[in-house]
Amino acid sequence: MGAGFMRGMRATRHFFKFKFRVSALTFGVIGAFVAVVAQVFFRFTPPDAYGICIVCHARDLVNVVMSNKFTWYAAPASDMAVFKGLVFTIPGVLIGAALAAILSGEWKLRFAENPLVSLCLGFVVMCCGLTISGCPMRILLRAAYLDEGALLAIPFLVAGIFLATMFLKRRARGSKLR
Amino acid sequence: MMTIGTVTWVSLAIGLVFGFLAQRSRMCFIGGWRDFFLIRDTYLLKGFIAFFVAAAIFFAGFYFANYRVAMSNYPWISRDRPDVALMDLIDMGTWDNPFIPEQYREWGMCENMGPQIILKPGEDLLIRGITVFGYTIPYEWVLFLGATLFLGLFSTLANGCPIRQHTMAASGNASAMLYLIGFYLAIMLYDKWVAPFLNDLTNVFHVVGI
Repeated sequence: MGAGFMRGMRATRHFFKFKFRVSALTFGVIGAFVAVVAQVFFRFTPPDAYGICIVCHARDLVNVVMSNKFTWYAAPASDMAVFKGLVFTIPGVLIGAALAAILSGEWKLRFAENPLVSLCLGFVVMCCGLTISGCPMRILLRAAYLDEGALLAIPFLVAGIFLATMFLKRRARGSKLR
Repeated sequence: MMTIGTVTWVSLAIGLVFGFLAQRSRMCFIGGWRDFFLIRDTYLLKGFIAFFVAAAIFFAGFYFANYRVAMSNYPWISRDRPDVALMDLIDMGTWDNPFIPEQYREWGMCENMGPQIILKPGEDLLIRGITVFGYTIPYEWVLFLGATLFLGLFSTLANGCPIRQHTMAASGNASAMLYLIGFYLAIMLYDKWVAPFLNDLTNVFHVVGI
């Protein structure tokens, strides 16, 4: 068993694991292009800057599906102008990410954080997102669309992240393992 | 009106692209700043800035190339329409429930200058908001900016922005799957519990601050 054999083994393993890495910069540029094209060419547009948003598309998908299936469902807070259409972004994100994870061998069932905390945080984050009709991605998109409200909100977003980071740092420093 | 049209397929394709790229690049908009504040790592922050800059350039490019059919409101700042300028300043794009009630606004018409907002005497005091040193911050601004701050805060505590949570859930992270359950529960329960609560908070008429 020589170096050549080991190289062959590694090459074969690499062939069966799809290790196509993408940098965050690439994600930013391609994502922005896709979001802008969605609005400009595919008319995702009664709410402006609507090409991609997890919170808004989830809300509208749930609204459309539940309103059509259940008469008792009252549609919650909608954007300034309701988007009339069935948006399938969320299933696409889930399928795309699952595909990428499975093909690259990174799929692993695990509990990373406290499940109850995650449940509550999901609820709270979605409530905040519904209030502003956006997620951080859409805040950025609206800021790129020159919405002065969103431009003003980016420092507040960063301030919130800063506060939580300082809280986590302080909590970690308080533990015995240094 | 659940019609499966172009929008459905296009949005599915967009989601597939985003999901794939987000998983391969482990992109998170919140994580960009969190990593920068903790360990001065700018990998994700570059993605954040690239998204913003690229979107601004593409929007401006399509606007100046006259693909304006679907960009009716760009730039969002409406400088050439003074009748909506004030509403633009106040309306930050929260849900369609303006906190300045209709009866407090009166639109007047002047032949030469066009529509204007005419306030009745004393009406400036009726802009519902928090007054600090004589300046009134409308409740809509307070809600918008406060909710953005809490969005950043709680997303950091949850270890990711919503797209990162969807990506993690698709990669097998069970905590992220529970996050998604809370996420979709909130859509159902927001109108029943949270929106009336926020409305009641802002019905405290004219909170006087410092």
